[in-house]
Amino acid sequence: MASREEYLGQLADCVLNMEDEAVVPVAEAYIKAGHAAVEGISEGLVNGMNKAGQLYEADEYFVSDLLLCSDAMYAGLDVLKPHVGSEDAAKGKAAVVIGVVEGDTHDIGKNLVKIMLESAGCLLYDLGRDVPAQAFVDKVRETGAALVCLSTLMTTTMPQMALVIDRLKEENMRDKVVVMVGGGPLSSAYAAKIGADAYGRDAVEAVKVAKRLLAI
Amino acid sequence: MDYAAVMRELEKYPPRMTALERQAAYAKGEEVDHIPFKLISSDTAANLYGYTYGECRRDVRAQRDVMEKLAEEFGSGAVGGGLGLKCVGEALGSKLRYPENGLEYIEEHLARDYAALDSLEVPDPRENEFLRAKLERMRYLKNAFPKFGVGTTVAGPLTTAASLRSPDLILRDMRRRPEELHRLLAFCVDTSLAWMDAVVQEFGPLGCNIADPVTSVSVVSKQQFEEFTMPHLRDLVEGIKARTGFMPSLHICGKTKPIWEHLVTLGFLSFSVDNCEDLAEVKAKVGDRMSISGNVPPVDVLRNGTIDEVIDSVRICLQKASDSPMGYMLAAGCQVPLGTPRENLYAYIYAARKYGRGARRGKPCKGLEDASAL
Repeated sequence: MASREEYLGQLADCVLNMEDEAVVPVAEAYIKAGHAAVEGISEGLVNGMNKAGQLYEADEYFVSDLLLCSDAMYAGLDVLKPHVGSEDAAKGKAAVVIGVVEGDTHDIGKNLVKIMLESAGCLLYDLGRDVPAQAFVDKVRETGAALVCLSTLMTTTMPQMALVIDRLKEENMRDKVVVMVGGGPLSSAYAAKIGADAYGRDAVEAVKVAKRLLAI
Repeated sequence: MDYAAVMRELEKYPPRMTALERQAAYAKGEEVDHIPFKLISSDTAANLYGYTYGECRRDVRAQRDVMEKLAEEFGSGAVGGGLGLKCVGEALGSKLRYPENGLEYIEEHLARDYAALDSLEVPDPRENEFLRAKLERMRYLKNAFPKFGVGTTVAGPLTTAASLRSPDLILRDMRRRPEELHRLLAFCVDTSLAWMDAVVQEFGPLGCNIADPVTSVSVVSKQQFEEFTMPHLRDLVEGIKARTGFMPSLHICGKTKPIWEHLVTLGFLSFSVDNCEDLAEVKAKVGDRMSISGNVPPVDVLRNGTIDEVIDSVRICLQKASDSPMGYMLAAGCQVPLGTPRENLYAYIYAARKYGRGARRGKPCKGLEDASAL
């Protein structure tokens, strides 16, 4: 039988090597051997995803690779998560609300940011795509999220981001939550113009910025 | 500068050629009054004349009115129509949403599995209801503007594929199901060429632009471009050339630097480059083999910038690229967005005429001396 460290290494490798089928029996064997699911996630799966992020940053991995790594990570999570106590699952994690703004359905970038933020230890509330401004505000209020991430690929839907910020102000919530924006046509200049706190150029940078702003 | 000053200054630089004369003379290597430039396409100009994007989409008469006013105000025009980024998906059954004042977007792709895609037949644009309407629209506009040239567009193979199958699945297919993806891409090329057959039959040989945002190196890797885009894009290009006699032009959004040489290999004579790339670098690497166009930032500068920012940005583009050996055309780095203010368009024209004065292929514009004298 493999040691705990060997299992963790295998879990990480499955994610890094995009093995969404092979990861399942490894995760099952890891649990069966009596190891803690929480660490299987943080030191195994997430470790692999973080390595994939590093390779992406070094231009060795590409968007397609990150998507397949994330498939493997989620396949492993499906096995491990039921074994994590609900307290452990949310403990100490920064809550983040994320979505593609109303009028746009391009969500690859949003999904990558979501995966990388999860890997960084955040608790993600993914509203999906084509999300009305008010839905972001409601979810931030409901979850007490520290960060809200807004994404769009189209110029015509960029003003929706400003609308979310306006709504947060109207409901006196603006100073309680960090707003980060990202997507193809965006820039730090536009982020500043609409009063967002931060701009994430790509998924890896978005996580760095989020970590800095949330001090995690 | 303010808007009034731009309009005053503009009078100092009246054009001495029509857009067509300018382009033809520039292509021959002659000096022209100012750098040739692309302004705004009639579909995203709707707001300038009080229409929503939706009104022009639904009613060709609104589109005609915009084209008429655009020609009247800015002095140029062309009849364009074709397979935009999502059209093949739309023609074959992907579900789209149509915001009143925004670009349409895909809500639900036609098929998640290849069995459904493999059973598709190449639509005949003269029979497919959606494509036939597109042809009829072009015909109406050509009749309305008989003096305008006619051009068409198709999307690149990977972009067309992304109108049928969700792009995140396509990216996974590159590793998991390469053969099926190749089949889909070949189908997409056939569909685009069927469109070309129809428009050539209707309008005669015409210029074609290929837009292929999904094949940007922001989305796929250089290796994936080589494996999945190169062979099919080559088929598309060869097919267009065989039908029209012209090499199509190309725009790819986002990063493209790793594939510039490949675009030369494919035979492209002109390439419109996104503002995320540096024009000086494009010129240095491939400017001796392709004419280049771009890349005033469409969102930060043209749509949301000030007049001075527009003027500066045009000047910088000209400084970087107007002496590109095979020629340069001033343009935005991507589609000029809906809602771009009129004053910024005039600032762009003003800067093109002032700093782009005395343009000649391969030589810096004479007007740039004015800038260095500042």
